[in-house]
Order: sequence, then structure tokens, then C-alpha cells
Amino acid sequence: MGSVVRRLANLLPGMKLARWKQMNNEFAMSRRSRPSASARTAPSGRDSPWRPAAAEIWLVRLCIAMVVGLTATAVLAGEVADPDLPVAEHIPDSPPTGIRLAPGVTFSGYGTLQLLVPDRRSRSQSDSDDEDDESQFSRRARLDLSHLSGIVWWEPSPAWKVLGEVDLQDVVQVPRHVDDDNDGSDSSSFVALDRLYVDYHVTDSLSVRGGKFLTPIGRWNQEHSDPLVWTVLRPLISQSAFPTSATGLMVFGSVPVDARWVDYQIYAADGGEWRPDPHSQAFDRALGMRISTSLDRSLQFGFSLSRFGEEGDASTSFTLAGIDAAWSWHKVEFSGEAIVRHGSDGSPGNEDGWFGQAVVPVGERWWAVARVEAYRRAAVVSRSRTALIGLVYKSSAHWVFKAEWARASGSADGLPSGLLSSVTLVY
Amino acid sequence: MLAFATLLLACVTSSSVTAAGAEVAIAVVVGKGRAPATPLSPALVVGIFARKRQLWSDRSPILPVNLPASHPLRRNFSRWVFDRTPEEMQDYWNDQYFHGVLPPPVLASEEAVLRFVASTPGAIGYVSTCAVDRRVDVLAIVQSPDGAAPCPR
Repeated sequence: MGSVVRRLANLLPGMKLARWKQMNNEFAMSRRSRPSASARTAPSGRDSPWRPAAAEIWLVRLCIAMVVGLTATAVLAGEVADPDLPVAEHIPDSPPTGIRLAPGVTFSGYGTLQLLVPDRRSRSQSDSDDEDDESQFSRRARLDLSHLSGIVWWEPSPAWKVLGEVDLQDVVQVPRHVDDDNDGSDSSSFVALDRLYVDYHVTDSLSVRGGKFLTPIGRWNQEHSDPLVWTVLRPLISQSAFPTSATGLMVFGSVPVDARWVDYQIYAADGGEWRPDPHSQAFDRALGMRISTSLDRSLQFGFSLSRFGEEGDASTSFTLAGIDAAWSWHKVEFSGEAIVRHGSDGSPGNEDGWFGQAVVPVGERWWAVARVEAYRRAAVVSRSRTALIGLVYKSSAHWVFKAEWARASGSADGLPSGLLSSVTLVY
Repeated sequence: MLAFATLLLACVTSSSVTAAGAEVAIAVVVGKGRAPATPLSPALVVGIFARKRQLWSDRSPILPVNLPASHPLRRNFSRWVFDRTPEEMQDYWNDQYFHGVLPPPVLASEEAVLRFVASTPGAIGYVSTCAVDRRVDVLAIVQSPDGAAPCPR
């Protein structure tokens, strides 16, 4: 097929019909039996003196293009339809297959457009607040291309995998949000390096990961991508009590225990965060582990433990313990997480909190979501609470719509109240 | 009269459920002569088709293949192994997608699975126990909790 295309491509410029006939005969002969070199190059000796009109040449070119196009389509269709070759599955809700950039290299990602409308209480509170609002909520209503994420993974061999994720955050905002941390001269848009690591499978139960990875504390942080979570607003305990990513080493794997699988992750970091997020703390050092398993086919349970220090306050060590659980049955899901964090030098670093979330189907592809969250920082006397209700539509064409109303109470420093909505497209 | 009719209906429904519960068992197969030394445990069957297990003991890649989601054998395999329908498994695969793990690809028929598994080192699939032939070795048998029905003649 490739040689045919090359031949036709060579013929197109300035081609004479007689020459085309000669080559066509050669091609027909080559299809029947492979001719000798002399047969392929021998002149026919029957060149016609007739010269075609320009219109005829263009007509022939058009026909050739159609034949080539149809042939190529048929060949490709034949490859896809070959019953002896496995193909990617396409059923409703199946993930995309990614874009194959090269053998073993796959590109995927997602983009999210958010509409955030804080309520009056939230706006008036923010107007009187001198501190920077570092939550994902703006003080004013805004439309925000909040995430444009690209994920590339490369599997050069069965034992190795390289994965990187770059997230363009807040690329477009209307109205434009000015980041006071950045001299007030720039927007809050940021090119985040979410993950960049190399995995080596030592055995099938033991792998080593080196690089930047999501901190394995709780379920939410490791599955925080917009297409995977049910709400626009992220629970505080999944992001405030610990740095959400670490640059270091991790040992991980899955071990069968009876008829179940136990997943484990043990990690260590020694500062040096790769491209740290300017809006969150990075690890100065960390040593932690996480174990998760399915207690039965519907109930997943996880336990996380970590001891770490944060950059900017290296003298303080924190010990964090967390549990998480998720129960799903058909399209109903209940999930929750809880954490306790203690600082080595007394109360200022102490934090604890929990959230519970329910997701119930209300239509063919619609779900209702409700969540309550409580969070307490030692520096703030009272406990803050957030309640959230929302609707989610999951299309079978890999896009998700979310709309929710969040209400913060108590000393809800940095917590939003208002309408949050988003559309996420996975590719 | 109404109570009697209800009781009768319940008995008929119960007996039909029991009769329909036993279905032909499913054989998990690899190419002839490529079977590992030990048979697969139920957990390993789960692990392989959930892509938690990706290497054979000789460190060659495991290449699991599925039947199409609408195939009755795939639906039974998914329910008996994962306790979920293929559609309910998609949440799991969407999670895995963001970690660079894709679900097993599909082949159109049991015969295609047999041909692919027989000719591809590392490949593993499943067919009805009635379809097993000399091209493959059986690593595990998966069956309904209600037992296995005999092969239709």
C-alpha cells in the first residue's frame, strides 16, 4: 500500500496520461506477480503523441485522489475490523483511549471551565478581609478556564513507566483575577507540574517510584482530577492539612490477601519540591504510608499515616493520621474521610476534620450530591462547617457538568459560600 | 384466593430463578504450554483482569483480553469475578485512566479469543468451558455461585 501511494504521489505533478497508463500496467503486473527489475524499468515503446488537456489532467488527479482516499479508508477500516486483533472497548462511560503519540506513548488529559458566583455574605466578608484569598473561590463572580491538563505516559518496557502531568491553571479568567502575591502585575494563572515520575516494577507486588507524585493521604488527593470527583469544591481536609504532592521516592504495590487485594504505598521526601505551587506549602521532609483495601466488593477502606515538616517552618514536625471509606452499590455512593494532625511544638499546628458525602442517582445520567464537612484549626477557636448540595450530569461522551451550592458557617476562613458550576471534558 | 395465587407465583418465580442460576462455567485460558506452574487463585484472576497484575513470573507482560460488554459470557465473567456489570466497572477504569492504565482490549468472539491467546505469548482470556480446545491451557474455572450447568449438546 505504501509503495502504491509513493508511486501515485510521484506521478501527480506534470503527469502525462500515457505515462500513467504505463505505470498503471506495471502496477497491475506487480499485483499479479513480482516483476524483475528490468521488467519494472523497461520502456513500453508505445508512448502516445497525444497530450491531454489541463482539465483532463485535473480530472485524472481527482480520480487518483479519490481512489487513494477510498483505498486508504478501506485499509484502515479493515485493520480496525480485523476480528483477530483486540481493540479498545467503547461502551457508555468507558474511559477514552488517549492519543497514541508513538509506540508506548499515550497522551490524555482534561479541561475544566468553571463558573463561580459567591453569595453576598461571602463577598462582604472578603471585601473586609485584608488577607489574600487563597481558596479556589474568587471574591467576585468569574468564569474560569481553571484546568487544562495534559497527561503523557510512556511504557518503554513492561517493567518501566514514565508519567507526567502538566496542568495549566486559570489560563483564562473573566473578569481577570489579579494575584496580589505576584506584585499585582500578573494573573493567578500558573503552569503546574502535578506529577512527573518514573515507575520500575521490581516484582509484580513491588514497584519503585521516583519523582513528583500526589501525596498518598486519603482517597481524594490521589483521585482529585475534575472528571473523577463529584464536586467542584474540594474538601479542606484533602488539601489544607498536608502538601498535596511530594518529590521523592515511593515503594508501592498490591498484594493478594485471601480473595482481596491490599494496596500499599510507602514514601519519603527530603524537600526540593519540583515546581512547587505558589499557593500551597511544600514538604521540607516527609515519611509516610497508606494502606487501602476492599473489605467487600462494595466497601473500600484506607488508612494513612505520615510524619512531615513543611517548608518555611522546618523546626515543626507534624504527625498526621487519616482514615477514608467509600461504599458503592449500583449508582449510589457514600464516602468520607477524616484526619487528625498534631504539631510537635504544641497546639498551633494542630488540625482535624472530616467530611461525609452522599451521591444518589436522580435520572438516567444525573446524580444528586450532598456533603458536609467540619474542620478545625488550632489557631482558630471554633470549628468551621461547610454544607454542599449539587447536581452532576455525566455524559457518555466524556464530559461532566456540575452545579452546586455551598454554604460555609462558623469561622469559615477561606471557605466559599455560593454557586459553583463546571463543565469538564476528558480527552 | 389472592394469597394462594401470590404464593403460587412466588414458587414459580423461585424455581425459575434457581433453574436459570446455574450457567455454563467459564475457563480462563492461555496458549498451550504457556501455563504458569501454579493455577490462578480467584484473587489473581481479579488482579489480572483489573490490571493490578501486569507481569508473569518470568517478567513478561500479561496481556488480558475481554469479550465485548454485550457478550453473555463477558457479563457473567464480570458479575462472578468483580461482582459488577461491565458498565459498573467503568468508574474503576476511569480512575485508572488518570494513572496511565487502560482496560483490557476486546475481541469479538470466543473463537477470536482462542486464536489470539494461542498465538500471542503473554495473552490471557476466557471462554466457555465448552469451547476449550487443544490450542489452550486452562488456568482457572469461574462459575456461578449456583453451580455450573453442563455444556449444551
